[in-house]
Amino acid sequence: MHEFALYGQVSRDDHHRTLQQLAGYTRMQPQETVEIHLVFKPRTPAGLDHLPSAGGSQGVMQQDVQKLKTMLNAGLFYLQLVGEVVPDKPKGTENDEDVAMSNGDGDHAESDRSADEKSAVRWSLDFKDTPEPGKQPVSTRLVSRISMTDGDFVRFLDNFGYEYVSRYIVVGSKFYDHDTTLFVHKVLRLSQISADEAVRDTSFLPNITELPELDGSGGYTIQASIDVVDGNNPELKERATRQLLALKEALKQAVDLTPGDRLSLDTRVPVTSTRTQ
Amino acid sequence: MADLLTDQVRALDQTRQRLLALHTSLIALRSDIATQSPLPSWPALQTHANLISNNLQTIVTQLSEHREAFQSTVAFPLPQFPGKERSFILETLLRTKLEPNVEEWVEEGENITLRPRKGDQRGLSDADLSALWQWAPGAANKEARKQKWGADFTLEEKQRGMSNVITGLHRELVEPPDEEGDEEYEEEEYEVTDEDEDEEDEDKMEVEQTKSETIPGGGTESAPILRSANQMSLQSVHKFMTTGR
Repeated sequence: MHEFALYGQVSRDDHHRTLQQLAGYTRMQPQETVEIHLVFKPRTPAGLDHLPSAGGSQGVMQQDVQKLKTMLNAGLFYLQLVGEVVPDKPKGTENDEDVAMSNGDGDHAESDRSADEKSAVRWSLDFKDTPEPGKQPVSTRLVSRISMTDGDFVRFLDNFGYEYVSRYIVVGSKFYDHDTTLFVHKVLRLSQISADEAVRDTSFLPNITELPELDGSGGYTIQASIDVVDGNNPELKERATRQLLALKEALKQAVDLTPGDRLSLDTRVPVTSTRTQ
Repeated sequence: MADLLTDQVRALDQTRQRLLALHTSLIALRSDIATQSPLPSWPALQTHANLISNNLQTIVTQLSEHREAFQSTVAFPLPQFPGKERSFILETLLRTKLEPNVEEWVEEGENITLRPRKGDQRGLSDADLSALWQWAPGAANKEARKQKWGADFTLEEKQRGMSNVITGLHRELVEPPDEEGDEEYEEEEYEVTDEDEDEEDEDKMEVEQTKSETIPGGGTESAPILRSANQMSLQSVHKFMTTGR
């Protein structure tokens, strides 16, 4: 699956106005979204340190050594366990959206309240590749999302060679327009605890508003994205790009949407040799 | 003889492009002058002149930059060049001397550059220049006397009512002291002054107006900059979201 995306920023003062504009543009009420992100990082392959390093007096590395090194380095990507907090409601009422949706505000309050009372977390394992290189009108990258329903996630990842780094929480509002998802969100910090607890811990959910923000100014980030199942299909790719650019043009006055900075969206883990440290 | 380096070819090509641009702008100026029955407006002519002088400037820098390459480059015909059919272009390319009329232009241009050194012609004659210098201090003084210095409003703003002036400033503003006599004197002078000074007055008023307008404009502009400065950059947010720290 490929994700085509544009990113922008909304300051705190403009947040409410932007939500209203997006609600008008997409003809829907914002859907409150809360996501818990647990970041995992692969362990450096053990053999890497035994390889001779480049540079210095040794000059150019031997070709086979270089090959080995790229083989070991390849595939070292950050992984995330994303837990979407779903309001604990029977499925039936969710599908019965005609009544609930038309009364936007009421629905809102209700879902907030039920989230406060008891929340279920729907976990999935997210992999996002580094955006494709080159000057592109929109950020394109390979993504994969596997829903995790049961089992010991941490042990599972541990056996794969991934270790827990940290966790944070993303809160915001989602809008949908045709194929496009518009997600206005901000990142909140969570206290760092061990991985096992992090999966189970939902104690902070009732008082989300009290969590410290990553961005002290209270600004929001906006992401407009389209997921394409077959991202290599040039026709679909073209269509997604066109849709996003049309959206960018439509929202030009409200928010500036640009392709993301590839370097900061880089999910590869920089390999550092423990020997040099 | 070695072939031209790619750099040199590119330099030649660039020179050609710029000469072409100069040619186009010259033609545009000529056609404007020839076709428009009242001559084109002063600003339009000025734009043309600017464009042409910019073009000339770039060509001069380009030529001096690659002077060595251009001077040492020689054109010679290859055996497979159709010399008979294209004899005109061949002769043009192989000609080392300038055309007679071009040579006349060059001579003319050299004469023009020499002239100021001979003292033939200057912008202003000495007498005019000294007259200008004599006039200037008095005129500046006269302008200065029209205002009450040290206050934050001009007399003109005061006449119109200071509450209407949008400054965007929060501090206490000093208003100029009121002197009826002075103002009357000023008004009389206004009537007496001739065209030129009137124009100057207008200029001055414009300056003051724009000044009072830019202050609130600057205020609103600086606000979003401050806000975005407070806001974390998108890059660092993304960085945190991907790496978790």
